[in-house]
Amino acid sequence: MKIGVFVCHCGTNIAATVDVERVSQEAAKEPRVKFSTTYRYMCSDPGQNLIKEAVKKHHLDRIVIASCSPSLHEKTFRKCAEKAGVNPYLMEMANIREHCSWVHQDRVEATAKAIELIRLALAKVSRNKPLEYLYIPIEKKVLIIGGGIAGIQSAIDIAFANYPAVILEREPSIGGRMARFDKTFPTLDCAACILTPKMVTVSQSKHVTMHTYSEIEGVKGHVGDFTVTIRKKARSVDINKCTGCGACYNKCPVRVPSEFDMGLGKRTAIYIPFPQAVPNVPVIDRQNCLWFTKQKCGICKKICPFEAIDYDMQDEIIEEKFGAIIVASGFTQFNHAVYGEYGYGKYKDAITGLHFERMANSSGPTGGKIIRPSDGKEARDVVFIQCVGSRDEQKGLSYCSRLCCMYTAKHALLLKEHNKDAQAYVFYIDIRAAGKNYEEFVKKVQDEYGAVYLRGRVSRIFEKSGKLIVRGADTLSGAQIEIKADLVVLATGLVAQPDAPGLARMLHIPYDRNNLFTEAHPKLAPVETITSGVFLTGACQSPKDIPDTVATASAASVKALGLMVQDRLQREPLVAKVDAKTCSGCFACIQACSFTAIEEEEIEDKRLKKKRLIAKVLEGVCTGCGNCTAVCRMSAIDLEGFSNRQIMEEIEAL
Amino acid sequence: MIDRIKKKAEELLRTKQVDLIIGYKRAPDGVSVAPVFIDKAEETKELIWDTYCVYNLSNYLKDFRGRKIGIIAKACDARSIIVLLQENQLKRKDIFIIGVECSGIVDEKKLLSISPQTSELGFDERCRSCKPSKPPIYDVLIVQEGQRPQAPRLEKDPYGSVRKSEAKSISEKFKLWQEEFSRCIRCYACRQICPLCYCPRCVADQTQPSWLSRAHSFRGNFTWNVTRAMHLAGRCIDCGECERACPVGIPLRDINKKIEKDVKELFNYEAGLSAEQKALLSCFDKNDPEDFIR
Amino acid sequence: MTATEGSPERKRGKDKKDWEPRIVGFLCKWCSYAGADLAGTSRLQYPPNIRIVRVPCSGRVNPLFVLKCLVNGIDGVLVSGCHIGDCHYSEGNFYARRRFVILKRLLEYLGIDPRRFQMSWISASEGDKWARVVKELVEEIKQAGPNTEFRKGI
Repeated sequence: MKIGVFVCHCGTNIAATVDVERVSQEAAKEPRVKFSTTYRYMCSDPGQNLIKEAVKKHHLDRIVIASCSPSLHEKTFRKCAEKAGVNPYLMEMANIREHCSWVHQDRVEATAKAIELIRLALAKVSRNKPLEYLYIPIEKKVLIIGGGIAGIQSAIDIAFANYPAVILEREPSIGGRMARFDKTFPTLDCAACILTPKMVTVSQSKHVTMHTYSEIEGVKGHVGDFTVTIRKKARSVDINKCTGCGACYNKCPVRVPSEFDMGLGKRTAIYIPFPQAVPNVPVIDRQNCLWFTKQKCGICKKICPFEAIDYDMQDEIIEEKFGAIIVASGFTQFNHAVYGEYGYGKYKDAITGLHFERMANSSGPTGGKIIRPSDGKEARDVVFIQCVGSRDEQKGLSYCSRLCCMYTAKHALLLKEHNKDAQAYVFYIDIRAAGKNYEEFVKKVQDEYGAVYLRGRVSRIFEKSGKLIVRGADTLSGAQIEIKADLVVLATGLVAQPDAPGLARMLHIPYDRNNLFTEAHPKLAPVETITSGVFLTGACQSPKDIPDTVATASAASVKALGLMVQDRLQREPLVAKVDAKTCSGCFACIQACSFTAIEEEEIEDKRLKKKRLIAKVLEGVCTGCGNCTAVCRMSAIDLEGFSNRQIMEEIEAL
Repeated sequence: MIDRIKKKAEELLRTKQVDLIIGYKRAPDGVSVAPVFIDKAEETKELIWDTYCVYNLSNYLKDFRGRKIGIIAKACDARSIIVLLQENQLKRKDIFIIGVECSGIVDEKKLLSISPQTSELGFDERCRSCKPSKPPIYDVLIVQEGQRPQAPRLEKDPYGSVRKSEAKSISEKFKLWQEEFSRCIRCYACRQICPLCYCPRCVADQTQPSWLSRAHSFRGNFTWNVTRAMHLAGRCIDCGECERACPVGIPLRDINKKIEKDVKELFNYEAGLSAEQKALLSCFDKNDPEDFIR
Repeated sequence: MTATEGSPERKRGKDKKDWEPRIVGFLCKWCSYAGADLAGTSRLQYPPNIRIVRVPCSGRVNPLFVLKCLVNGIDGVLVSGCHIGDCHYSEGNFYARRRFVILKRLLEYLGIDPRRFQMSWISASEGDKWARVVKELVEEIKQAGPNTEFRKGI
């Protein structure tokens, strides 16, 4: 064994506190060390060349670099070792900067510690094994969970690059929340006008497959090779036969509140959620359909000219393989029932922003009129309350939902546009309008549309002679305010979908205390997750408006495409390995593996002359956490790169 | 009772439901008991059952893997069978458990000085805090008839003696165990006799890396004894075999009991009650205690 | 005084006044090791008594590692990982927590000073906590005195 030790000055970062020359001299005295030197910047090109030349000249077969943290330059020096002809995994680093020169001032102490840190790295590297990179094939298909604007944009981007994308949407149509909006801030584009073309693009793309009215049941595997189980719920309408003529729902006798219209309008039992639905194929709501509840009616089946209605249709479970997964599962509204003082549920005329969107929409349940749901009369004085749920650690969310200030301003504007005589009052805590043309938009709503902004909280809402009396404080003037309102609109915050933790567990991605999915790095990897091959877009990661959602959708697509274009994926070989002879087959490791990366395997035990079961690591799935190694009583399973021998050798060297 | 055990064993062998019966027979000394392995129906006459049947026969099961075995099991022994099933060391269909109701077994060491049947002190200490008299798993249960001497119940807290030791000062504790472990001769009898020590290669015998010093030193003895105990955490069912086998009388059960107590108090986990249970250290609860962590 | 003479190792065995504790920290590379890196980047000062063994996850730490350190005469052992919920592998620290509470209690039962084996959760952003924990640890272990329990003899 011929080890080379390379001590970096890091300018003065190390050299000022650590006597690098002395460290190098001491290192040279260690057994198995054939060469030791220092250099000003080991990571620089000349530094790396120095290493390469030393390897050649002294026939070094292992390398210790004493420099900064391996978090910073482990990759650099592995590559350098490789170029020098040394297996990249026969290189170890001694962190004499972050863990030594920067945290100690006494030169003598720091120098002594640096020598010991090198001794530790030498101990470890002496037990390193040459390792080969792992290569895994990539299934050239991307799964997109969620068919809202985030999922739609991702699908378009991936299809544009000529790779297949599959959208999984649990509702009968794609479109998501955006399909319900009337106009979008700050440009006031009609949401449908900009969304519908994208929906059509997706539906017409030869690269995009849609599984609507479908749910994800399970995910197995790893980057490049995910196997996903999908439940295609029984739509009761044959998607291949249906032409979307609408005969069925035009004749359906059932009327129930429409979810799409937030219960403000009605739909039939066989229905499409909204006129521009994609696919334009109805679904039967079996809870309310007379055929399913009372075995009566059957009109839709009789009337359908294409025999597309199938009452006996069953849920279908399919399994598909994907190379990457984009999570675009979106958000839901904060449940503001906790705010009894706002009267939601008690008073029909206290509604949420999403109700307002539907009312403002000219093809919506009120034909674009802003009315009081209690009596259908047009609303004149409307009070908007911001931060319902958001920024309220006591009762709601710790975070700011980011969009409510903007959509409330938009609502105040739309109110005036729909009714010249109307007056908007907005209770707010702070106005957060950080976006391109956002501040200007809010100002316009105040200045040109006469919306009255009141800084303060609403303390109580009660009904009096057909009006909602809103009591609150204007903290700027210090005055108590009382407004007789026709309508109260609550700007409810955005929260994670209730089943987000379940999805996260399926995908092995972490989520925060708000159940929002956690990105791999908040700044430098905002659409990646720690599970490679799984990417995030849209509001499932944090509340986002449409531009941000679309931007992250394209970002996630690029990340997924980055995988798609590779022939095979290179992975670090730092994975667990089983020693068949030592394994007893107790499978403590299988139970303790968070990634289902260990399987049972039958082997022929030559000593016992019998077949027996032992553990087997799926290299492609193993993340290298090493938990299995610590639960294995017989130490039959070990972790490459952090092996028992390596760590024990380090301990002995201490 | 013994007649019914014999009858069942005879029937199992005769009808070829099992290839072998593992039971107890009288040892040549005429008092104590030895394990017996019977593969002929007529030899089942040899079987006995009394308070001297101290051994946990499940330790022998692993030697006959792949064959159909009938085994006589007390409540404690049956719990180790459950752990073996839980850890895939046995197939349920390969074993036929003749469960025997038990009211306590004797402590051989105590018997040297005292007459067994008459004195309460003759019973094994652990039987005094054993809850079940019936095994938690069996294929046939042989119940007791009539009155038999019952191990007197211990004070309510089965961990009374552990608690007493816990209350000692650190240096007292160290002195105590230093003395105990210094007697260890590393014969590994505790390991050989333990029905749950079935590793193909024990870490104590491994050299790459060398987990523990093989030298007969306090260092090595301490490491071995802690390793053994840790490897039984959440698995030990307190059959007491290790302590019985220890030639130098190290109170190994006390260590096992300490862990058993902690595991029960911290995680509400008891070993060997269900084969479906996950291994203690291969699972967790989000609310596991962490007041010891900075 | 030369550097080598100044090393705590060389001081071991000398009279108690000169003795400096030797501490080993098993740090997960994602959180605690990065937290220690941050302490460096932030130039936070702490005593030089700790040596870090880098591991992928606190779940990787085998109780036998800790045991080996202690019987080898290391004065204090620290296992440090991500806070609960932050584990890079989502669950590794849960397993570590369960495993080591048992070991900690057992060691104490057998007469090992509980200050000699400790655990901490230190995130990648807690450079200050890392510096503080090391300082406290060094102080506590100084009070516990040198680990002479496993010296030769008996």
